[in-house]
Amino acid sequence: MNEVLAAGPELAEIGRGVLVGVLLLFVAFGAIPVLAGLAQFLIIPVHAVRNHYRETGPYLPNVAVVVPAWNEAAVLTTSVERLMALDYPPDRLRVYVVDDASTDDTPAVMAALGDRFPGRVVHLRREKGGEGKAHTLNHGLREILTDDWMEALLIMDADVIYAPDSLRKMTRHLADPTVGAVTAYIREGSRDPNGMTRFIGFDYLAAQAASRRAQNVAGAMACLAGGAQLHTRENLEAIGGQIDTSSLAEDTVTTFRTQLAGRRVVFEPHARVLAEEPAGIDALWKQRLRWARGNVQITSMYRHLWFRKSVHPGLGGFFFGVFWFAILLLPLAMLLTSIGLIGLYMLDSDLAASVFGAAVFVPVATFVFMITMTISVDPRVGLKVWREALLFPGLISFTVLAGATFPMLVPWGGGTSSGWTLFVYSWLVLCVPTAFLVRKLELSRWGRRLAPIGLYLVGFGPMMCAITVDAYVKEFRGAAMTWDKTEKTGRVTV
Amino acid sequence: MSRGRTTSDRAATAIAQSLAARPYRISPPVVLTDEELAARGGVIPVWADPMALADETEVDRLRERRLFAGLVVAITVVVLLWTVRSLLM
Repeated sequence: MNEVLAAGPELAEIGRGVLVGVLLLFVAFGAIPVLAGLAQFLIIPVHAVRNHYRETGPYLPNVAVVVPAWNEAAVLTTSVERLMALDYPPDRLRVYVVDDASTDDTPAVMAALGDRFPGRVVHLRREKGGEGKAHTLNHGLREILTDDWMEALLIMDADVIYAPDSLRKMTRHLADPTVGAVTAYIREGSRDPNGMTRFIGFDYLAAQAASRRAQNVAGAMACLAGGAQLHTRENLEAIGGQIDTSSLAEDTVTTFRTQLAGRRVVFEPHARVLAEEPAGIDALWKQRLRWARGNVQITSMYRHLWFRKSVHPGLGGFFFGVFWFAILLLPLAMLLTSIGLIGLYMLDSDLAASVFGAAVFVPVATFVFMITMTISVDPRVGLKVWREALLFPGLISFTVLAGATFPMLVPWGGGTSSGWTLFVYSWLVLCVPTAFLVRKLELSRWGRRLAPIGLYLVGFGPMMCAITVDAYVKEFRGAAMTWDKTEKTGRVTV
Repeated sequence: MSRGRTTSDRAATAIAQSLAARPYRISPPVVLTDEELAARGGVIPVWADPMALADETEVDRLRERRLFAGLVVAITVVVLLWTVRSLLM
């Protein structure tokens, strides 16, 4: 007994050491998404030499464009007119609008368009609708596949507008028989941008123009953009001639199925498509929650795939797996980092300050590298959204990072105040529930004025993390998979 | 919820190999009538001219080299940030 008591301080020291080690591991876990992001953005320049252009050809197949539409009367005329004006052989292009039992003027709009473009614009109507985009697409696919005219199928959204040269820039990749599908670069295209649409503008620049180039290089595409996916007929038939209806991310399932069936998916960065995106937090939340829940579902559906190169060399590769889970587990990484830093602060505040001070430049440098690289892939858009790029993590996080990087420039950044230090360590995770509050704020009486300020303070990135958390909760609770359609008003302009 | 597999993994590899051995897909040449050409002001559209299509692709391929400039700028900005921080610390 006496020996145990005598060894007490020593055991306590060992326990403390183990605890410090665990907390340091927590902080290190937070570095994984940062390093995964850095690796992805370091790959992007390789696209300059490793791309698919040398394997393209002057291929202009018969393209059937399928447009799922539910109450899209406000945008359909412009979209169809733009499609008819595409710089593509007119006799090789047909548009099929699948009207999902719309209750607005969609049938009348389509009748007028059918008269203006006889034989080239077809109106397919479902009498029972509301089952979601995948069911609507499948209705169109069944009709289109009944005759053998169609050689390639373009799936798009009713609100998107294609640049005139975009379709032929996509079809050239289909000349290569190993390619099953091609996607384009979707840009936020509102003519009256507000803070939210500028944040989305930067988000699309990073997630599409930049990230998909890296995926081209890596030989594994995470997702064909829902509003711009071009498939060969052969590929559609190989994946069953139908779009998956079991998840909320049917476009990602189609992308995975195409690649698992032995065909390549290519991103064409010079085929540009403009899309109308949500202008408010609640609308964005519903849209992104659908995407995030879809990704959670896909992670489970394809559990046999992750980190198994034998299943697919690209999708099952180490880097693709790390990229995928870095996004999916980002809220967990932020939580663990915060717990790690606060725990270290409780045990040894000097050690916590040393770890934070030594580590903070890595995420700051990575963040600066990523936004500079992102802006450079499309400077025209990038220079319009550079403020939202800097404030992507939120003004509060920006101030925290600036204070940690340049403590001498920020009066409260020296770490002498314990209150400020604890706030800095805990904000990493507190920003997520705060993002929930900003959404609630938008729905309140003063929401329209205050919510945009809240968005800039909390940031678009933390809001995406909060949506991921919401997706986990809804998926865990088995919440109904409702298709909350994003309202489109025809704000897009070229 | 359906499983993601649509074909066996071995079959997918075999498909990829067989596709790679196939000839490139081609489409029939586009023929513009005199009336169609006149309607376009006598200008042959890019899609009707295989050489113009090839040139367009080459321009896009070369445009991708701008990514190197982006990399240089991004590295420069990070180095500048580090230098300023080092000087101030």
